[in-house]
Amino acid sequence: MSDLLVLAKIGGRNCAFAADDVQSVVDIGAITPIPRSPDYVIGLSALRSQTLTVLDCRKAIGLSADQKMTDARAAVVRVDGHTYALLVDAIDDVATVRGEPGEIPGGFGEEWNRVARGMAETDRGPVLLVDIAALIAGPAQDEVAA
Amino acid sequence: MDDLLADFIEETRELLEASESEVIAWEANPGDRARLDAIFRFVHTVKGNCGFFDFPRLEKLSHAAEDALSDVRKGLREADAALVTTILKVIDRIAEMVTVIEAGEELSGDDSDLIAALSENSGDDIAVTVETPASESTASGEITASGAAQRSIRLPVELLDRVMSGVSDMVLARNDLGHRLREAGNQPTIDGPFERLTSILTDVRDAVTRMRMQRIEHLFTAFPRLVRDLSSELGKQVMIDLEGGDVELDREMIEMIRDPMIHIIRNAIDHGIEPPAERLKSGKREIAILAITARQSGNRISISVSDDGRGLNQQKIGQKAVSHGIVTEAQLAEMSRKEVLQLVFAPGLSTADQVSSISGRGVGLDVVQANLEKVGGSIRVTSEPGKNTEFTLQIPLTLSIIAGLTVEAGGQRFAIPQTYVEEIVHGDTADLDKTQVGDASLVTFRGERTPCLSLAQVLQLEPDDHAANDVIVFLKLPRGGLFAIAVDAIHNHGDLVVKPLAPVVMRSEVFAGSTLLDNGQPILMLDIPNIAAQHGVAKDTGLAQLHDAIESRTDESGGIPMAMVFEGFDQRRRAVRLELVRRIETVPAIAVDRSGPSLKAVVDGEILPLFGLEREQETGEQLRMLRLSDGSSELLYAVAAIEDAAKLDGELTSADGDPFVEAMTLINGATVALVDGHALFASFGAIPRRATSMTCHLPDSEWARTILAPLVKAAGYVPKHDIATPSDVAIVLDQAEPPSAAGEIIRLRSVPDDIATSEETDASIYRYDREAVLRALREAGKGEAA
Repeated sequence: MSDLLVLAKIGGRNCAFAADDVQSVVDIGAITPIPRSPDYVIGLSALRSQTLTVLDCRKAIGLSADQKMTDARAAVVRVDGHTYALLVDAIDDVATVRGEPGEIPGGFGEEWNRVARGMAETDRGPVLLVDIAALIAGPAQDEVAA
Repeated sequence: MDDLLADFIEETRELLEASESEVIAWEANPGDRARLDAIFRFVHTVKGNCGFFDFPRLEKLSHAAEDALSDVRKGLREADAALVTTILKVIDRIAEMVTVIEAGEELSGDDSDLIAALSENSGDDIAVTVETPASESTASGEITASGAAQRSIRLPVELLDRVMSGVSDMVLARNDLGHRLREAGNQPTIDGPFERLTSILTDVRDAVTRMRMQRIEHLFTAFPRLVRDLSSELGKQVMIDLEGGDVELDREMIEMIRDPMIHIIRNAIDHGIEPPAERLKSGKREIAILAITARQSGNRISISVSDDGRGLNQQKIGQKAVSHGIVTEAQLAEMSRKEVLQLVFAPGLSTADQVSSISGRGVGLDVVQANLEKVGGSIRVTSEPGKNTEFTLQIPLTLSIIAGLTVEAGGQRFAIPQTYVEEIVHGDTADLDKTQVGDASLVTFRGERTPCLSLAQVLQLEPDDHAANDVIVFLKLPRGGLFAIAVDAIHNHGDLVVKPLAPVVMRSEVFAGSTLLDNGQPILMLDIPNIAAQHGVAKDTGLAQLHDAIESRTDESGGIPMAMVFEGFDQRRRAVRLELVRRIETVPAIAVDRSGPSLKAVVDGEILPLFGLEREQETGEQLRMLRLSDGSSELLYAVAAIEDAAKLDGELTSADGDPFVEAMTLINGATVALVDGHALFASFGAIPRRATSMTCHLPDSEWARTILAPLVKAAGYVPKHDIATPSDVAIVLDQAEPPSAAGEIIRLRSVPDDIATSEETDASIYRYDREAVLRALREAGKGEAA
């Protein structure tokens, strides 16, 4: 993996995705809602002829989502052959990571621990490196497993 | 080096597959020089390629095989069964080694056993007749089963997918552009090139779709080997007969049906085909025939696997089904042989008393059926005791392009695969008879109470207050269940390119995929079988039996003739012998031509005589008819309502003077007039005439496309917008120039008759005068046909 990170804000916190995992950052247009899907699945959106499954990262982590989304832009990622658009509060910048991602004593907090790959230091300060596969799996499966 | 090695592995794999069937064909006919050469080329190529890489073990083995085959070629050695078996083992061993090489591991072990078997009583002289195998096989890419080379190149699937999605993007961009052009009004300088772009794009899309297709031959090549190994293991003699290898199928679909096919073949050899002694005793040839045929019919591919073995044991299957609680004794007694046989697909039913290593018990035919249904296919079995068993697999032509219907519920659009749609009824029709029993809704469909779900409720959507939720779509499941689903509106139907959904969306099990609308908006496609299962409405109904009854005709009802009971437009209950009924058709009322001396109607592009309808008879927008056939000629019988299929076991008493009534009889306690098929065909029957050969050119406008085109289609023409191609008839509006390459010209005018001058009314037809336009079209058609 390269050392570049895409910086994003989720629920007001500084987070980051590995730049290698992010295909592009796009503006999300019209969204077709999906009935009977989990809360964090917002719907389907088309990116040219590609269909994206749009997820709300705050709800996927298990945070409350009372504030409005501040950004219509989303990070496009591909996991197991399916393409997802991750809606976040804001996408900031791309930054270089300094050193290996590490744990911090005491963890990141209950919800965050599930999706955290660790803490990474960047020029813009420390960020939480998000495990995209865990994020996409959503909070529901944890409840089932527990 | 890595690329080179990957190529080597891939090439060897393909050659392996092709050569297996060659070896078996060669064994059957050792004198077949062409086969021998093909096998020899294979081992030679492997040996030659080994020189580039450092695989001494592989080289030694292929060298030994080459030597043995070379002796056979020179006539120094006989191609006996022992040698063929050894060669097959060598091929297997080479396959194993290729796998090891691919995994990047070291080749270890020893092949001296095989090499010794090969060199048995053979001289050790090394003489290699060098042909040009390496260059030939790399150039051709593959050797087909017949040994003929087919020009092809190898491409990564990823690249193919990129081209496909690129073309889809282009189609979307075109639609967007088309939309904008329409808004901007007519612009002749742009419209022409745009039309050309559209037709080119359609061609390219077709070609790209074909790129995904593969000949079913690829699946077939593995079967001769499978059959040979199984039959020799079981001490049976089986000849395999493959047909239709050139039928093309989606590459993904071929992978999907591989396991089901293998399972059925194993079953046939293990259970169906008798040992040679038993076959001789029952007067059959010692060698059994296993025939595998692939056929394309319309939108579906049907593959049949038939053996001439002992057939299925109806009694045994019935008993097993009863003891497993799948059906009750009473139900079983009611079932025809055909129905009993389908029970082999019920979960938990395996008729083999002895579990053998071949058929095993883990995977049953129920799994085969479930897997096929997952991809929209189905499977049926027919069998004659002591004579044969035939499994028929029906699979949709492609997985990715499905004909579908777009419906609306709760303010949102969804797609339904067309294959499930039986009929669409607008809810204000009186004969639907909606009722509520407890919380369940029921509608009456062809005399049968059918459960009715609301799509908005199924999807837990907020019902739209303004929408009526009163369009009822009747859906038929592959296994024969019928249910209805209420939606707010039907939008349109067409070919949908369906893409898979993310697992998180699939979890609710109500969606099967997603597709893009013309405007680029994604919509979800419903998973009909799962929705039916979730609501427990997948029960068999009368309709399924009715359709089965049409298929099975009289032979299944124990010799008693069957009849279809219906109510005619004259309010009389009538019946027609079931063997005459080919299909039940529903056609729009405008498809009926009332202008000629006798009524006619256009069904599926064929013009057929119509009976049972008075010239001035009022009908709804849709008309139901029985399509009757005596084998060669056909006619349509318009009916007001269809009741059921019934046994004609009552006494037939002579009729009441109506020439088209054969007799009166009692069916379920009421008198019914039995239609005289003979008299009917003698007076009205006609050999169906293709109406689709006639083409009609239409003006290029939105009005022509939406208003005129359906009318033209109903009159039996194929509408054409492309000005360049010649057409039989051309319709032009007002003073427009007719296309040069048209037969007859029908001129329409925008001014109504009462305003137009008499010159105008003579030369043209008011464009909203439906009857006159239809009449003109039909006149033109007659002139052309004469």
